[in-house]
Amino acid sequence: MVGSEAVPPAGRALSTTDLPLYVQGLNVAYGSRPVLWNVEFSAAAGSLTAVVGPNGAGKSTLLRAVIGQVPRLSGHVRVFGRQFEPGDGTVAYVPQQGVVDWEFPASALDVVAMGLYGDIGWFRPVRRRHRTRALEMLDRVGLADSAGRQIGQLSGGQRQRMFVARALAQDAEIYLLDEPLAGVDAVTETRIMTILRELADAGRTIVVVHHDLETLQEYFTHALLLNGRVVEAGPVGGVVASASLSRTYGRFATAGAGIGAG
Amino acid sequence: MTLQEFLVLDLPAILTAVLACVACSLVGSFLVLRRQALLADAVSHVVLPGIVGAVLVTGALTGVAIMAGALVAALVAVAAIELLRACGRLEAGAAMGTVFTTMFAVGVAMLEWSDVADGYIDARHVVFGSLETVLWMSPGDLTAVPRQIVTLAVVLAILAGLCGCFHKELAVSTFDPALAALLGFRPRLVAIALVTATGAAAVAAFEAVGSILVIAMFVGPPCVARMLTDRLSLQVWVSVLVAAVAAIVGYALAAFGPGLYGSPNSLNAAGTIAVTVGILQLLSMLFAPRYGALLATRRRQSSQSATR
Amino acid sequence: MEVSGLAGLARILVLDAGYNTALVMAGSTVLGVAAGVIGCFTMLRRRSMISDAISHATLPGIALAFLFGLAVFGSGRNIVLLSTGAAATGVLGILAVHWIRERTRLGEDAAIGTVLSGFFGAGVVLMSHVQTLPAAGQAGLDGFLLGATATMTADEAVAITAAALLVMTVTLALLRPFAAVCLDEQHASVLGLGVVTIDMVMTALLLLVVVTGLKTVGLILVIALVIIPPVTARFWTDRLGVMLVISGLVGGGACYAGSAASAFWPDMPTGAVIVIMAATICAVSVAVAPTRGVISRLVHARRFRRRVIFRQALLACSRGERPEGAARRMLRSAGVLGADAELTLRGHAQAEATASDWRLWELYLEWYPERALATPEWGSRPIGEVLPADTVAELRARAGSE
Repeated sequence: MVGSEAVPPAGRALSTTDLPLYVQGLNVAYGSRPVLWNVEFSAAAGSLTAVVGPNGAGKSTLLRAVIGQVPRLSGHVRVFGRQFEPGDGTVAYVPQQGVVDWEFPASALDVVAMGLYGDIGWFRPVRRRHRTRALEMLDRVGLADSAGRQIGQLSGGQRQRMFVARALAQDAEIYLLDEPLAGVDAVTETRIMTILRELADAGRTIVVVHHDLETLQEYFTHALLLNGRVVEAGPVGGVVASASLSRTYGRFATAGAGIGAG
Repeated sequence: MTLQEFLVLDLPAILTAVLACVACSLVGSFLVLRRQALLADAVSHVVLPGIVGAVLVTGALTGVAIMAGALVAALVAVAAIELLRACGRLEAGAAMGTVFTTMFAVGVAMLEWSDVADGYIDARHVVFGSLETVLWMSPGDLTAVPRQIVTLAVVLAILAGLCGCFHKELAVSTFDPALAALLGFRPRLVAIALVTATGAAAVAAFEAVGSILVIAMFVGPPCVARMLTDRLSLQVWVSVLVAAVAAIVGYALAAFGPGLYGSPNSLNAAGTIAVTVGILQLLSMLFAPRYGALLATRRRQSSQSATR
Repeated sequence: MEVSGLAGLARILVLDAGYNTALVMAGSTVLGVAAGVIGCFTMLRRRSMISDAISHATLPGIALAFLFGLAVFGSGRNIVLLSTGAAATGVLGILAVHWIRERTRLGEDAAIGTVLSGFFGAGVVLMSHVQTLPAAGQAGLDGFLLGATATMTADEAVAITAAALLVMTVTLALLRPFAAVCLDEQHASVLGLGVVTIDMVMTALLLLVVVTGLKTVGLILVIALVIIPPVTARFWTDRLGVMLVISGLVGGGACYAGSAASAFWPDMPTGAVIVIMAATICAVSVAVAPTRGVISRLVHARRFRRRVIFRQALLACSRGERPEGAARRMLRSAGVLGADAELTLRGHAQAEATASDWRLWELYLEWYPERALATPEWGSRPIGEVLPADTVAELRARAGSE
């Protein structure tokens, strides 16, 4: 689909536009360098989609453009058929570890409680029941013991789990996670994937920026191959079987194992 | 020193100093946490053209005009800094340095060329402050409380109220603006509000302690608190407490210190307060239990091995 | 020498208004050039605001040197002595910022903020003590705050000119290593240039510029000399060599004009005039500079957006789709779509051409993804306008073989 205000043909309208997440004709550029070129993709309820592609392919930008963190040149993001509005509680986002200040004076519990701020609303303080709920979420990721620790004292895997707990606290319909498995230990990786699978099984929609092609089929139901534009999208089995991986990562690179985007 | 002297001279000066320091350090905690301490530097400088401009435009020297002028100047400065950063891909420091030196220079030139503000502000007061000129001429008469104290008290009350109400919003938009935006908390609005608060605190304190020492109040006490605590609410309280202590100790040093070596003169109180803040900060950086530099090397090594 | 009227201004400008004035103007111009050049390197190393900490940290040094001079020589008004004091506490300030940044959890911004205000506070305290002294020569100290070239003595002017020439010479002599470190730190260290040493020399020169500029521009505004000219230059060019020249010219020009104005109106603080001169050039540059200027950027952003949408609309047409809304209007007015919403003859050719061009872009993305993604304007222009001819030929060959 092309053009900023283009409408999909009638036959597809019912099936795609009411999906939990539908991105259409999305163009993003940094200055005059295109990052995302006419991206169109959708994610169904209960799906676990991996966004993969080489460095600079626009994977993080895609997630950030969906939540309105980077300006779009053109295009639409529809959430359950409606224009996405920040603050409506439908989308949770887990940033890359590097982007926050780990010296910030907050405990793991404080950060997870931030996921509840949307429910609490303007002005109102964080109450005991909110803290209890935040603690439950920390417990779900196995971090209840570290609830009171300053976030800088958490290990890399713990930090990632804390962010997942925060996303859980948001109790959203759509979860966008930017490299949640980057640099984490095996235990954390298993734990995070178990939680994501449970969410998907409960009918939530999960989109994850992923960089490990070896685990692609094992972890995800769908894949979106991104290389400035969408190379291919669909059920993970078909995508991996096709020649699209090498068209995404560069045809000089050997397809298959070992092509990490880092 | 008689009680009368204390009430006329020292009490109003101490009150002014404490209120100014507390107001600035309250806002300063969030600036330091956002790594925007230099915004305090920029804003405290651009307050000058704001004030002079307001006086030139309205032709009168009223508290409201001064405050409005300074706030407008602060917002203009921040907008200009953002413009420079966006168009020139400049680092924040270079953009800030360009904007605030320019605006300060314009302020100085306006001061020289016009004589509207004569006798009230000159370049010396702008830089050094004039804490010593805050006098309570008839002690006990509440209607004669110096204007600076009233302004500061009002500004502090408003700022404290805002910090209390928007604690949560400030916290989340400082720590993770992306999340704040997603939750509908408008982090840009919060950022603009914080700049406005910085401008308000700066202009209220500026009259008492001058443009450069305001920076000490914005940055110093929050830095002490950063060395001591890992809780946001504690960070704010410790920083406010440090600011109040520094104000009182600093003033005492300025007023009574020279007497110790037999000099009848007093020192510049704004300066001694800044020095006190600096000394407290040095002590905290060296001896803070968890993060002090004397212990930090070992700490850092152990925490790094924990993250890997 | 009495100067007034246009004739007086003209005489000032051609350095014919007395030995002192001429010397001061020559000295500050050289200083401005040196500051502009050093400032470029400081900006590229992302250290611009360090100069703010340095300049404020000089105040206690000036006051202490004055007290020292008073006690030892009976007079504190000696530019060399005062500058030495200023440099000494300036160095302390740099070290303090460095220590806080490296050894505590506080960021560089907080380090600069506390060092500049703490040192300045100490300076203010010492100054308030100095002012109670009945010493005669103290009047000269006020000039350090906002700059005063008009009241400069001949000795001071000579000293400042000499220092400015020294800074200029050293800077020019070290252009190559400085450039190497700024452009590619890793490459520089591979070449065996000690990055740390070069950084130290750079900082030392920055300190010298600041200390030399104290009397001319004043310690509050002296940082403008090392910040505004490079910022101005940044808007005109991406190339370091050009940037150094523009920055030096802006710095030198602002100082020349500023000190001339100060000689003409002795009451005006020289620093403020110099900064306003430099800032005016900067503001004009920010507005009208090609490519990076605000106006040019707005125009380019709009054109770029329209080009992307237009090309994608053409591609959609080539696939048999018909865009709606703004894209359709754009196609109509370009004559691609006729009134019947069908492709015109010209539109058909254009759509086909764009489609085969896009095929080459896709191949480029598929064969060289990381290079392609880093290419400015990829996909949004015909490939031959962006990539070198041999690359395009290679892609054509690959397209043909598939």
